[in-house]
Amino acid sequence: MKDFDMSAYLGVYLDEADEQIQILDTEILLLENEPTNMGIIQNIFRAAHTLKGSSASMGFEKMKELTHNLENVFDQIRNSELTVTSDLINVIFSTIDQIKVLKEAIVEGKLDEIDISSSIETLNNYKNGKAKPTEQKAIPSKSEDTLHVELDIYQKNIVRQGLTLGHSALEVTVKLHQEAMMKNVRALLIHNNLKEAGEVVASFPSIETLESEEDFNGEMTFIVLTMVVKREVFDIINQIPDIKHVNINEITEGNIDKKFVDDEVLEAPPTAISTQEQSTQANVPQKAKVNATVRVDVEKLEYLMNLVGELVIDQTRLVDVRTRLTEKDSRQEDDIEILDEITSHISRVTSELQEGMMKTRMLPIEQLFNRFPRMVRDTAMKANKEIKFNMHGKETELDRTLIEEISDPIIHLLRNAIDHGIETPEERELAGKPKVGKVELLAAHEENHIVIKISDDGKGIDPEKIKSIAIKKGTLSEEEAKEMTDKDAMFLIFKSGVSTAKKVTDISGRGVGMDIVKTHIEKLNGIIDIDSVIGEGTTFTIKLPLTLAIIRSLLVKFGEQTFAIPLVNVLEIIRLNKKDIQMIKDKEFGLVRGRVLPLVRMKEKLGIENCEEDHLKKKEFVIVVGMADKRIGIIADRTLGNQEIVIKSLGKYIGSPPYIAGATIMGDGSVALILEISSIVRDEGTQSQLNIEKQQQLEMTKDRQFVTFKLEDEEYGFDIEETKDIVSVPSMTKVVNAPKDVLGLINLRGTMLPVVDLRSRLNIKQKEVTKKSRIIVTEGKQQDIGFLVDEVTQVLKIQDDLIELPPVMNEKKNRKLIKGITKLDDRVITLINCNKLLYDEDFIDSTSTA
Amino acid sequence: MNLSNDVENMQFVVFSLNNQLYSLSVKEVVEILRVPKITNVPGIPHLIKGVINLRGSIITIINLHERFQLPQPESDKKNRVFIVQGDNENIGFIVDEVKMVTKFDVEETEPPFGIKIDKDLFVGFAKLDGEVIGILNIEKVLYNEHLAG
Repeated sequence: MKDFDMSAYLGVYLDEADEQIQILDTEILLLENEPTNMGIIQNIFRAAHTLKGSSASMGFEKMKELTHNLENVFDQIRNSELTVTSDLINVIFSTIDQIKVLKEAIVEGKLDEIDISSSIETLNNYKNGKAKPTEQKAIPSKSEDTLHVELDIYQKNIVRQGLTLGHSALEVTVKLHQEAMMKNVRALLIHNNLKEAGEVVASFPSIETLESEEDFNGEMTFIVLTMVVKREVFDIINQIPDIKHVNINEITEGNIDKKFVDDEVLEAPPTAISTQEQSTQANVPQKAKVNATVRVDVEKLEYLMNLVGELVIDQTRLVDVRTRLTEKDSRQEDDIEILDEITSHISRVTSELQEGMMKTRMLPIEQLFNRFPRMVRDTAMKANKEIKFNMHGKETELDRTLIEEISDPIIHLLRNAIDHGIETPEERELAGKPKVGKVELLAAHEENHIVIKISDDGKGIDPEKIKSIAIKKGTLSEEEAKEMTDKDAMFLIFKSGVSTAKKVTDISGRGVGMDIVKTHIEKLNGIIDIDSVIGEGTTFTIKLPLTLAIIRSLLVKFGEQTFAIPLVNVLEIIRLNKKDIQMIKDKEFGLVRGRVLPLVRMKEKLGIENCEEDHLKKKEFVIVVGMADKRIGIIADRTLGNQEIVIKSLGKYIGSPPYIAGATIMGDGSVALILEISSIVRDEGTQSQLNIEKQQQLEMTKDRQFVTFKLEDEEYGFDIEETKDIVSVPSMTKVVNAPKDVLGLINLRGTMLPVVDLRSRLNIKQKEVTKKSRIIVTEGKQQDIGFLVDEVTQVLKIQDDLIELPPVMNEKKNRKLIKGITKLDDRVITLINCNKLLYDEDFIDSTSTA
Repeated sequence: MNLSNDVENMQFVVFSLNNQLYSLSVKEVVEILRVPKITNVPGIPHLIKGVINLRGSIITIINLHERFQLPQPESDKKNRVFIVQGDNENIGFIVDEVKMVTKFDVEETEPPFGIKIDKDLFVGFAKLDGEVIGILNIEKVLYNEHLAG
């Protein structure tokens, strides 16, 4: 067989190797729990065998040998010649690690530098009885076999190298039956089989001759370097039918240089052999070029093919319509209709094609998840913890690039959960928890996102502890710590240098990891959240977009230019009144529902010129974006709605301009730039201490909001905290013998609500219900009560210090009713204490006297 | 680059920038198109004008006038975008006008005069109908200044 360029298959080989290593890992974990399960042993044996086979066909000798030895061990286990002990399991695990190292070495082309002899030796120590390992050591045997062929210097060198590495070198002579069919095919098969067993250093006649020569006489000699004993080589060759005779001689230091007995064997010109040999040598690549491969379900491909077929049909139809439109006597209305049909069909097909294409990039997260049980086991052992590890949602599919990228953060969080989260078995028992800690990994789809949760039932995160560490490290001032919510405190663990671990272990605790976790997730446009209860456990939730190539995004205008903001990052869009925007030092902050939101004037940041009208606007569009734990508001001129966009790189020449993640092409062919939210947020994160303090002050002087309404010509207000609902006036059921203020009962979503006429309650003359009349539902202590008012005007924000106390001259009972009075431009609004309306004894008085 | 060899067998596209003539060998020009809408990218070197969409790929357009320190011209109907092969990507630039595609007479070409700037930007100069046409070294034009800045 000719050694053709294997690099084309390298990707496939690596994929398969990954798969098999994965199986080995999982199955061996299972084996640890059930050491006698034959099914599992079979699976492992098969995986090792497959790996051996493919490695051999790729010519990765070391890999082949190692897996071969692993296979041997499992062969013995299978034949009950060896029992599975935890010691053996550990040896097997270390072997698998070695296999992984080899795999990496193949990728990097450094296979030569890896020494596997120690791994093989330990494995061999487990093999009982036959003492194969000692036999394999090539001790010059007493009776030296006579060789039939002569080796050139190059081949001799290889043989010698092999001998020093502990291989045995065999000269295998095979004679086929005279009447055998297709002798050269059989010869090639033998050659292949021998290749599986070891390295074929030379063959006489040469492989090229074997392949081409019709008049091959059925006799051949191979020089093989192998770890396998003679007997096995015999077996291997005897798998091929039509073999008349096999003779195996051992080559040793002693007989290699001897004058060979020239037999009847055909001798091929040695130069041809050596060149062939060189090509196998060259096959051990300097730096393997690996093309990433994807395995795609044939069904998915068929589906895509069908869609492409439909597009082709549309294309022909388009051509058809075009020709008809150019004809003079065409009926344009008809053609336009057809055109309409085609365009809508094309858009449907393309969107399906897009979705289908995306799906081919999707892989079940299983691939990634399967690595974890092993890792959890090792980590738990190192940390002396007992852990039960559960995984859910393995079948969740996500983009293959994401799978690679998300691996590190998950590993880190899992390690953290084991090392810091879960307590030692003793501590757990003291706390009254089951001795075995639980760590769970969950993946699921949630709308357009992937959600990954890592939870443990360990000791939880103590915000106070984190705060004190952060203060010690100087990342936080004491004042800040006081103001900080528990949640914010927990997010401090993402800051570099903050670690809650008492001591640094080699698993975790240096306090840099979480920082990396966060940046990694931000890079993927994801969000991370922490939920933790002290003593009960911690859950980390990672939210990621489904794919990196196509994202949903919000299109906004900054001046004339269109920009896209990834929708994952957009939390809400609000319109802020200019007066709600305040300057602190040189930065702008908005007040949104009592919370301070740092605002970014993106136009200034990007250096886009302001329009004239900008100053005239009363309100600003603010897009609230979030990145991990931070929230900021981006001021935009206009929002254009959301759209799926394909992310394109700006190219190397431009590099990576600040705040720009890439570009995309809009429907009209123009280019829109994609904002990089993470860098914008990071920018805002570096605010001065002063700003944070002022921010908090701002938050302290909280606004109060009132629902204002009209009675006659006066305006009144209820505190928004006390109101529940505003409804238009439905039909009302009169209540017999009710106090005169109570108009009756209405049915509000299934509950009966008494309605009080506020006019009569406040002694204003009654008036007919109009279209504008509303019932404001307020929250009472025992029961909700509705008040009938003439008209609801607005929800008004009033700062506390703008509310004046009611004048004293008022009647006593009304004074209790009135919370305060506020003046707004030319309006005077009386703020009414809702509770007093309901529970004032006057109210009860009036009702009883009525 | 062997100038005479190149000139011998190659056709050149001649274009003008600010009334001066320059040329590139046809081999180096991927395509020439009318000026499409150019999207500004904030925060990039002033040498780069922006990006365009060319049948679905984003292509950087550099400002050749800025590169050659020429005054910025008014946009004109005759303006064209040259797309040339850069380092693993296509890069475009705007020229005032495409004049012709022609061959140069080897006898009429000269290597650069030896002034430093000329040496960097030009492979040589050709004389055609009494006018001097600079043959640009596109790689130097694209990357020299870019890398320095």
